[in-house]
Amino acid sequence: MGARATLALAVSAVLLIVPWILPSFYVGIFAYAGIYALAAIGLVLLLQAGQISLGQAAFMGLGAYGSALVARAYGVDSLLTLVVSVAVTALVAAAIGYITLRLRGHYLPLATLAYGIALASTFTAWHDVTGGASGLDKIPPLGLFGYMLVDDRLYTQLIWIIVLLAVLGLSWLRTSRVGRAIATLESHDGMARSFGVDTTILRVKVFVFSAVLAALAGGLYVHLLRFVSPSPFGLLTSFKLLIMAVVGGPVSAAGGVVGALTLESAQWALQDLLARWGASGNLEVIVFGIILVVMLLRWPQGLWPAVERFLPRPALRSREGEGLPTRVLQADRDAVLLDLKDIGIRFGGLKALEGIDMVLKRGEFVGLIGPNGAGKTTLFSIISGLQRQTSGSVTLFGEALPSSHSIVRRGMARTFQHVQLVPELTVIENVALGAYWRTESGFVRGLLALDAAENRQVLASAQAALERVGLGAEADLLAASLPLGKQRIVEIARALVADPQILLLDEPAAGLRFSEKLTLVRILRQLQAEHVTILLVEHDMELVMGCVERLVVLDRGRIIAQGSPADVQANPAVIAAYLGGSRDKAA
Amino acid sequence: MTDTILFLLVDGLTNGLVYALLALSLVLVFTVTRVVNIAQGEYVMLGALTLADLLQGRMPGTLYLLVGGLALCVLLDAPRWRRDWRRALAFAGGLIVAAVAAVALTRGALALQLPVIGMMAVALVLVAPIGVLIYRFTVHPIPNATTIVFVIISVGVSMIVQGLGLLIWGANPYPVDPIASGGLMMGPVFIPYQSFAILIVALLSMGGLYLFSEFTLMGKALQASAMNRLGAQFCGIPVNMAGGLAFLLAAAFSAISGMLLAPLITANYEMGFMVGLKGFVGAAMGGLVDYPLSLVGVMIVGGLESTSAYLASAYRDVLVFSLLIPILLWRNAKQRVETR
Repeated sequence: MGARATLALAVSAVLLIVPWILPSFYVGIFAYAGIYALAAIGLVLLLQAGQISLGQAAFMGLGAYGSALVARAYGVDSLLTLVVSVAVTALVAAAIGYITLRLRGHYLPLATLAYGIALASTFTAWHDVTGGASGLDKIPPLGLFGYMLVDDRLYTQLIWIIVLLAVLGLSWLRTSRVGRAIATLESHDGMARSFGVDTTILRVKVFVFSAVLAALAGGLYVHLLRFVSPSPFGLLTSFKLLIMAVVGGPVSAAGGVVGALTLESAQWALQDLLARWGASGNLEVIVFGIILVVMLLRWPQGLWPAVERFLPRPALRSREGEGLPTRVLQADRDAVLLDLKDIGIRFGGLKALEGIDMVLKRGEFVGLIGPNGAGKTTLFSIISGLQRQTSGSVTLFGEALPSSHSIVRRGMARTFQHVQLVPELTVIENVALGAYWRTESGFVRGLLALDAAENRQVLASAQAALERVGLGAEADLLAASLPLGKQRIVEIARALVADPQILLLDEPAAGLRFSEKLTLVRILRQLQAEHVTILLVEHDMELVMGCVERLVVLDRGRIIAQGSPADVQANPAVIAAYLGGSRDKAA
Repeated sequence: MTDTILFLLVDGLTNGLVYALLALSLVLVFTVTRVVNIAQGEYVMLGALTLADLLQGRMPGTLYLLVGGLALCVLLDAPRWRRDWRRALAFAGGLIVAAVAAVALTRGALALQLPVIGMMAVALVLVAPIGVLIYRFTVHPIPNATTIVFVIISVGVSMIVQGLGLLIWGANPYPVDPIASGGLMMGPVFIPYQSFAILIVALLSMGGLYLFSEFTLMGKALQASAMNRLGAQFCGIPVNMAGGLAFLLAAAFSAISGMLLAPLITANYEMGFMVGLKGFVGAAMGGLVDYPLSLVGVMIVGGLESTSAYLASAYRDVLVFSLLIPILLWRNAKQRVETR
């Protein structure tokens, strides 16, 4: 067992013993801290996926009211009603998420605010059922088959067991296939889709899981308090949870726990101290606000990252053994893999591309060149399904181009001109994203760490790809710490792990050193020998001319020449496009 | 029926105009500094309560905030004394003069018993600089923090200012005189003069902001920082000054909004948050970057609010905020088409 795991175990043991040794007044505070931690952990996961929610408390409320009202009215065992209530909240969250998660920018937090307030106001306004603002008492304690959990210490321990399990599950998820995909959601949507992640569905899953944690927290809350009213599930609690997540550090589930413990204890300590000094109650909120602002000014990343620097690093996941099985491509040089017919795209009045006809056959190595702004990257975006053409058709392996996240499954992978690595992930984790479509462990398997065998294969393949491009030693560095040239090579390794039949390379050599370029050329030649079809956009003419069999030249959105490198080099139109005049003038 | 609809229309429009000033402040702050300022509504409260104090002939508690903030500013400047004591002295001296001037101005205004409009101007002079102070304390030290960190910091600021408001003014509501009392029967509906005053002041403020941004160098610097912070910095625009200026103007607009709103609902220490939220909702419909769309947004919010308050007051907030989601979806779909 690693040093980190031992430490985690020790801290967990302390947290589980604490309820039995605290004075009884503080047991309640510790229990509520655990409940808030659980809901805040859900927010941490959402923040990792780039979503800010101002409605988390409303899901707590759904879980709470659902379980409390049914258990109170029908006398059903409250553990069962809790489970059902969490499940129903998950369904509601799936519906809300499906509708709202397509919102971009500030629309999304605004929508969370909207349903948060709407649901919370409903708890107050639906007086006949919920008891209105004054709430309902006589909520049964948590129970099953006649056994009632009425011991607050035991209840608190149960809460913290759930919190610790959630932290453990999410730390497993973080290094799993789905966890790596979640890390792309904040700002690399297009890249994620290019490697087979259905980002829409994944967002909804993250949202639902976050709501489940909130609902569970809400249910635990009412059966502990044995009283339900709307005020704990309003906007203020949503803000409180968000504050906990951000102060704790939204990079890891542990941050949610640290945030909840810090803020709850700060709040109670303040109340206690200020009351002892005889200060008025108004001071509490002011001092709390000051503490909050100062903490964030001092640790904008959150408290947990500040603490984690001093802890032993977590053990790396195993990458021993065989990688994923790869396919062997046939040397059938006549098969048309990609067929572009009359592609055009307009941005407002600007015709960025017009009348593009192009064919890629199996095993071909084609270069796409042209001056800046000729439309090369736009054409790439269309081929990889990230942009829709306004006219014309793209045929991939004889079928119409599928939606962007299915393209890699057909066998086409790409790199990006502007490097699209997830900076918070390590190099090998970024590369492993390439194998997303070749594996299938889902959200739940990731949470429960049932993906070990598959993950080992993925990491072994990723490591092999890194060795192949000469970056084996950098595997465990953060992607953001590499220089730009190496980041580009990581992009290539990631595309290789996708085991493509067609490889689209968008300026892979920009910013590379000479030795790195040699490596690149060597890899490209190897791939060609394996009958991989390559479409290369590149400005380094020496590299392009030395590698490709055929060149396509774009200028101002049109194809102006096609043919062997030698023919194209001699073509007057090409020279004019590059040098901005006739051949004679240029000479 | 027509009467009711007309009445709701006027009511919604009045609310909308008040929120519009707030939405304007939020857009201004967000575009220049990338801060989604949850605390913007607190200036509404400060404006309203300062005006209430001035109109009743009291020294406004806002002076404590202003003078205290200036003092903290001098304290935070302490490291500079060792490097360059002359400038530090000039800076501290300037702030002390500002504090003395603010007190003198208030005393003068109280002695002269200015009319409501005059008192509004004095209140504005007292409240607006607090925006700059808050910029200096909470945004200036960490210019590169993420959006969410600034959101939470502004929540903290909101807590602090609201807490101080409670400490200074207590929990009682204060009545505030309108600019002009009475009203006008226009056809079947009665329109209070205050509604006209709101319309005029709101339009003047918006027009003023427009003229300022288009026709002054400082306004253009503000626009440049809003479009591209780094680029503006390379062009020699002091972006920190632009940030402070944005906070100043935003505080001023929000304070005006509070002073216009207070006669309609009475002023109290916690009035800012809900108003701020509704301004935010309006501004966010324009993605926090688009002034005209924000105006449309707040008008929708104002209209929804008065209509649903009339139809089902218990479910008012439920209706307002549920109706928001389809509008957001529609805006979102439209925006995506535009960018494609």
